Amino acid sequence: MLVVLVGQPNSGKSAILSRLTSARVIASNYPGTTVEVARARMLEDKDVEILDTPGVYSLRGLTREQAVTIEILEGNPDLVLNVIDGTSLERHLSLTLALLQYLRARRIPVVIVINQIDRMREKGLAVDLCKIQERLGCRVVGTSAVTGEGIKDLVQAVTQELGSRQRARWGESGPFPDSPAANGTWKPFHRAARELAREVLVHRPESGTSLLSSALGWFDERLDEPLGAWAACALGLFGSWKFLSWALPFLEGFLAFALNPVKILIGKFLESFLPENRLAEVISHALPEGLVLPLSTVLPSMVLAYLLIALIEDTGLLGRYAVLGDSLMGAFNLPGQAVVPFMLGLGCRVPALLSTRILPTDLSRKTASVIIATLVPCTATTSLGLAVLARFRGNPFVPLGVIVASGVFVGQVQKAFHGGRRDLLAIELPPLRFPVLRNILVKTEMRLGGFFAHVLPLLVIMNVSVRLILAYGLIPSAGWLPSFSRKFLGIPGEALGAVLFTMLQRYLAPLFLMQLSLSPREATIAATMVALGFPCLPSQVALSREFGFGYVVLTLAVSTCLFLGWGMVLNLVLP
Amino acid sequence: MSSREGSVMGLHRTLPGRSYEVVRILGTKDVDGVRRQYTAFRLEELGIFPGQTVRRLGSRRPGRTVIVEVLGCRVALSTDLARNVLVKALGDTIARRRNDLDCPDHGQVH
Ligand SMILES: Nc1nc2c(ncn2[C@@H]2O[C@H](COP(=O)(O)OP(=O)(O)O)[C@@H](O)[C@H]2O)c(=O)[nH]1
Ligand SMILES: [Mg+2]
Repeated sequence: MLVVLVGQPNSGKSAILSRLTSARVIASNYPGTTVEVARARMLEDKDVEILDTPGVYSLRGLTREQAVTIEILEGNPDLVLNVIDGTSLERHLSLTLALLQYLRARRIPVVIVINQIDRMREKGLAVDLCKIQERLGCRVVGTSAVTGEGIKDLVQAVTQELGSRQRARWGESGPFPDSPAANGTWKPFHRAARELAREVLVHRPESGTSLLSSALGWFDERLDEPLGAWAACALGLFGSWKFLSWALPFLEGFLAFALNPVKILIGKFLESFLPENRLAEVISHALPEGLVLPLSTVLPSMVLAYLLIALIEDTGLLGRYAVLGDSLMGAFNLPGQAVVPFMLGLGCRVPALLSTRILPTDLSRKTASVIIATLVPCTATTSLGLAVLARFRGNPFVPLGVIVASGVFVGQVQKAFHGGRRDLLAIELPPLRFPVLRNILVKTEMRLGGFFAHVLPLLVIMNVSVRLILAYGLIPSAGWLPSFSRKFLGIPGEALGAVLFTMLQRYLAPLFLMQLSLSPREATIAATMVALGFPCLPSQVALSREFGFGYVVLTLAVSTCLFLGWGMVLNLVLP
Repeated sequence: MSSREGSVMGLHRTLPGRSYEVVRILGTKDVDGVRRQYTAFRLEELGIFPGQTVRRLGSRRPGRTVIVEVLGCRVALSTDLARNVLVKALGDTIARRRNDLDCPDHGQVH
């Protein structure tokens, strides 16, 4: 049996899902985080499957989320749970009324879940459950996904509705305005929602806001001012930097120490049964290295980056960053929301590419995807690229400047292609909250899970192929490459070989550079070109899944133009 | 910059802490030219449509966005989008009365 959770963003659908099932779902304090539809089995009854849907404000099929949600509802689920944030009842009831009308026409039963009653209590609000039940003609339950209050009632309601086997006994009355056309205005629902909210809301003395939430409220108000917002942003960046510079070496050292025996063991194991020839030797080296190298060089920074992002998301600061980012993102012809995929991209490009789904239109999604796939430096490239620069005393500001300039260039080119249009920021800002450790851990784990499932296997394969290419000397070291490279780019032919390597394996390219001896100037040019190099295979796969193979070809072409172009420019301008 | 009661202006020119009534949403050409109404719809979903009361927050515009409170939630809009939302200042008394009715969370708790 299928139960579907429907509600506006940030109402607590994901939080409810993780209460009802053992699923690890991303609950996050930022609208539009559920991009993939999560699905899990109910704890009490394994026959019942629960689907989380992306949050929607209406059912008009305006956005991708709405289309997805409508498609799920068209599948005729056995029960719909409409999750509402009780602290802004009126806002959420407009969707409820439209949803009820929709479900009534299809005779799909529904339970209304008024969530966040803990916060309602703090605000001195309560809902007259009897009255709203009577007015809506369906079952209503009050819950708090955070404290667990009311979850038992919800489980009971779900099992009863599913057990009763008879399709909803919808009354004919109800505060339902006439159905709007698919492209009609939503106003009647807002109006009816207002009436209803007035009727059913009960004001109580505030349960005494805790010191913590009044402090958070005070901070929240400061963030409405530019000064406060920028201060919070700067503080966040400084804190992140401090945290990373402390935790990163620690975690890297630990993992390198812990994984070394594993690497040796796998190598020994492979040697023991592979025949003794050149190929086997290469493989028994490359395979353990391919497994361990990403884990010890890429994983630490990725874990920490995701922890930080999850923390920012869960506190609700992310929405504030999107606001501040709106003017910055304008340079890339993107709306402020794009700071989210960009930030994720600093961890790994693959989840970043997937998260571009939170952007409002295809125009923004495509622009952001090209910039992410070709330019946003992921942890794999940053850490090793910086190591190369440090080793040969290259200038780290050159690649940084080049990346930003290229991003602006790509954004503006897209803009020109689309007749000067740009998506504009329009988002709900969630209130600041004290972060929940479990949320942060679950989210980090899920994102890393994606890395292990989609990225690591490809990295291992690529590592083996790269080693084979190296071992059999298939890199064109002679011919036109070295002279072209010297003449136009000012770097040795091997360094250009490393840049081309990024096509296969991004983090091997810097490692390869490390083995050459470069002058500071050469190192700067080579590291910049590597930073701009081809998108890695996993992100090409992600791109092709999202936009089709043609888009991958386009991105590769953009990359080639960028790194060759900038290589030549730097060769001309650098002293 | 005038916020005399009754005069119509863009939402981006409103004064902090004051309440306004949305009068009209202008069409914009920022998204899929095909569906000009798209913007109006998106705003409507966030609670911004003619007849609605909004309250401006923040004295200036962080990141060139306008933050307003509507239906008990904060909503942030790009200045270029806010320009398309025409509002009319509400007198203090009307505003207070409307607020009490609109957003019970911010009204007096009995
Ligand atoms: N205080 C409180 N916070 C909640 C409750 N339910 C969800 N949240 C928080 O609200 C935010 C949004 O929740 P989420 O489940 O991601 O909402 P979704 O967008 O509907 O999936 C998260 O920060 C949750 O921790 C609740 O009952 N009480
Ligand atoms: Mg969710």
